[in-house]
Amino acid sequence: MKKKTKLLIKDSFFSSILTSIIVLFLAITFVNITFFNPFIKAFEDFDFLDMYYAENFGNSDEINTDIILVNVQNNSRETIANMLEEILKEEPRVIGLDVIFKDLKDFYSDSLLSSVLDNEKIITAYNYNDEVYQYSNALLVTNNKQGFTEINFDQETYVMRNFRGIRTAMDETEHLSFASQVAKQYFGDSYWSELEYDKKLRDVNTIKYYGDYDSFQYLDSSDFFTSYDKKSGLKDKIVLLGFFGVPTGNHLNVEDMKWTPLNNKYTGKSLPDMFGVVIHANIINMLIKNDFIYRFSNFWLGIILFFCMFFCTMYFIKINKKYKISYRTRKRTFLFVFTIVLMGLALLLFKRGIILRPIPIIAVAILAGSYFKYYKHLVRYIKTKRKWKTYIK
Amino acid sequence: MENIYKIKILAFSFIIGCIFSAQGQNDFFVHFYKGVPFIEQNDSIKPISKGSVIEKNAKLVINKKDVVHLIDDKGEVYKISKTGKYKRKELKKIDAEKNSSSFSKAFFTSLWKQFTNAVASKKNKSAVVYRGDDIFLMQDPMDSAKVYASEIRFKWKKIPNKTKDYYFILKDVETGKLTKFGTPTNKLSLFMDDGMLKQGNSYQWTVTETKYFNENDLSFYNFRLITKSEFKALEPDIKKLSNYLKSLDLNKKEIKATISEDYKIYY
Repeated sequence: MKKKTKLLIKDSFFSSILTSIIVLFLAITFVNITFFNPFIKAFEDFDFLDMYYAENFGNSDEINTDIILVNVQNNSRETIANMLEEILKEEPRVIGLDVIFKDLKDFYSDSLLSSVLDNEKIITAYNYNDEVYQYSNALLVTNNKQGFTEINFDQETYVMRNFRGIRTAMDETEHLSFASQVAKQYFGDSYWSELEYDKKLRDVNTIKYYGDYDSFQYLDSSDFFTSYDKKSGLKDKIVLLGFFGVPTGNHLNVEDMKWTPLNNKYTGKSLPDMFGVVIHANIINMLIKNDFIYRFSNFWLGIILFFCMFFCTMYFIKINKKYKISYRTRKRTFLFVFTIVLMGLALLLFKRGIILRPIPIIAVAILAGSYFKYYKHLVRYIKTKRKWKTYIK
Repeated sequence: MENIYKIKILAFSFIIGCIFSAQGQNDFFVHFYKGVPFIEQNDSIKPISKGSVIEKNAKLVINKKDVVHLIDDKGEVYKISKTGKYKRKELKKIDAEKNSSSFSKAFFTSLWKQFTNAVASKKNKSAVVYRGDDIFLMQDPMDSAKVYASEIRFKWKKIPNKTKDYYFILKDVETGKLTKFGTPTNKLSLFMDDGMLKQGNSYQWTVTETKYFNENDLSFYNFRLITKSEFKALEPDIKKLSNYLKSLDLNKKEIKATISEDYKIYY
C-alpha cells in the first residue's frame, strides 16, 4: 500500500472517531431540548420506508385468497349471527370476529348471537390497554379463544408500523393478540410451537403489509346474502369479520381507522387510511406465511454507520486536497447521488424483507463532510506541538 | 432399449403433467362486479354476487356495460368486460392482470414526481361538501335487485317541505334509452307491459330534483327483471329462507319484506 493511501486511511479513521464523538455529544446535549423544536416535532412520526407502500413500490395485482374479509357494516346482532351461521356452513378453518359486544341488547338477538359465538372456530376480540380490559359481555362470549386488539403499545407513534403478538400483563398472565390467536387456531398448537411463535411474537415486529381491504377477497353483508349463494371459496380459509365502512371501503367512516404506512401522504397531516380489521388481516397474513421483516440490530447498524462515515470522510479528504475550487460542488453532487442510491437500496432491501433505515446513514455522510474540517484544525494544532504525519496539508 | 426407456420417461412425465394440470384447474371466484351479469348453469340462470364460484359446467354471461373481476386460487385477477357467454375453458384462456411496472421504474418515476413537484398540484384546497341528492333519495327496489313481479313500486325518500316535482329516470341498460317522469310524490308504480319494461332485461333507475340533469353526474340503482326460469332457480333458496323466517314467527308480509331487504329479491 502506498504511503499516501495509508495516511489517508489514518486521517479518515481519526476524523470519523472525532465526528462520532461530536455527534454523540450533541445528541446527549440536545436530547432534552427537542420538545420545542418544530422541525423534530414535524418529523416525529416519519419513516422514510413508508414511501415504499405509499408510492406502491411493492404493488402486486394479486388478491390474497387465504384471508377473506367480511364487512359487518352497521348490521344488527341478529344479522351478524345469521352471517356467522352462513359462514360456518362453508367450513372455514378459523373465523375472527373483530367486534366487541359490550352490553346486552335484547333477549332474542343476544341469544342468537351467543349460540353462534359458542363455536370453537370463532375467535373474538377484547380491548386491553394500560392494564384495563374490555371484553364482550360474558353471557354472549363464553369460549376462551379471545385476543387483544391493540396493534402495538407504542405511545410515541400513531402510524401502525409494528405489532406485538404476545404480551405479559402485570399479573404475569400471558395475552395473545387477536391476530396471533387467529393464526394459532389456524396452525394448531404443535405447528405454532414448531415455529417458535411463543418466543418470536414477544418482541415488537414490523408489519409486512399486503395491502388495503381490496387486496383481499372481501364480502359485505349484502353481498353475502344477495343470492343466498354458496360461497365455496370460504372452505378452509380464514374469515375475518369486522367493520370497514358503509358502503364498504368508505374512508370517511373514520371509526376504527388507523394511520398506516400505506397512507399516500407520508408527511404532514392526513386522514387515517386503514380499518383495524384490515391491519389484523395483514398481520395474520404475515404470520401464516411466516414472512417476517428482518431488522438490523443496533450493533450492526452502528458498524454500518461508522463504515459509511469512514468512506465518506476518506472521499471528502481526498477531493478536498485535489480540487480546491470545485470541492464544494463535488461534495454536494456526491451527497446528492449518495442519497438517491441509498434511498433506492433501502427500498430494494425493504422489498426483500430487510429494514435498513437510510436517514441515519445520510445524516452521517453529511456530518462527515461538515465535521472533517474540525479534524483538519485539530491536526494543524497538533502539528504545532509535535511531529504528526498526515495526508492533509 | 434406451429409446423405449426414454419413451417411458416421456409418457410418465406426460401423465404426471396431465394430473398436475388437472389439479391446477383453479376455481374462479367473483371478486367484483358492475351491472347485472349472471351465471347460466344446466338451463337455469343464477345472478352472481361477490364470492360466487364459477363452476365447471357454468357459463358466465356478460351483458353490455357489465364488468366482472374474477380471481383464481392463486389470487390472480381476470378482468372481463366484453359482452358474451364465457365457459370455464374460455375463462382460462384470458390472461391474468400483471403489474408490469418494475421497481426501478417506479422508484425513478416517484423521484421525478418529487423533483418536479407534480404531487403538489393535486392538493385540493376547496372547502365545500358535495351532496348528490340522487344518492340519498333512492330506497326501493334496492341496488342490484332481482325483480319477478308484474308491478314494480319505486320508492324514494321525501325531502321535507319540497313543493316542486321529483324526476324519476329509468334507463334500459341494453339500449341506453332514458325515460323520464315528473311526480310530486315519492312513489311510482310501473307495470310489466313488454314495452318499457321487459322480462330478462336489466334497468337502472334514479331520482333527481332537476329536469335538466347531466346523465354522467347521476348515480343509478340497478335492477334486473328476472325470467321465470331465473326465478325458478332461486325458488328453493327463497323457500328455505321463508321456512326459516316462518320459524321465527314472521308473517307472510314480513317474510317478503325481509327477503327483499336482505337478499334483494322482489317477487
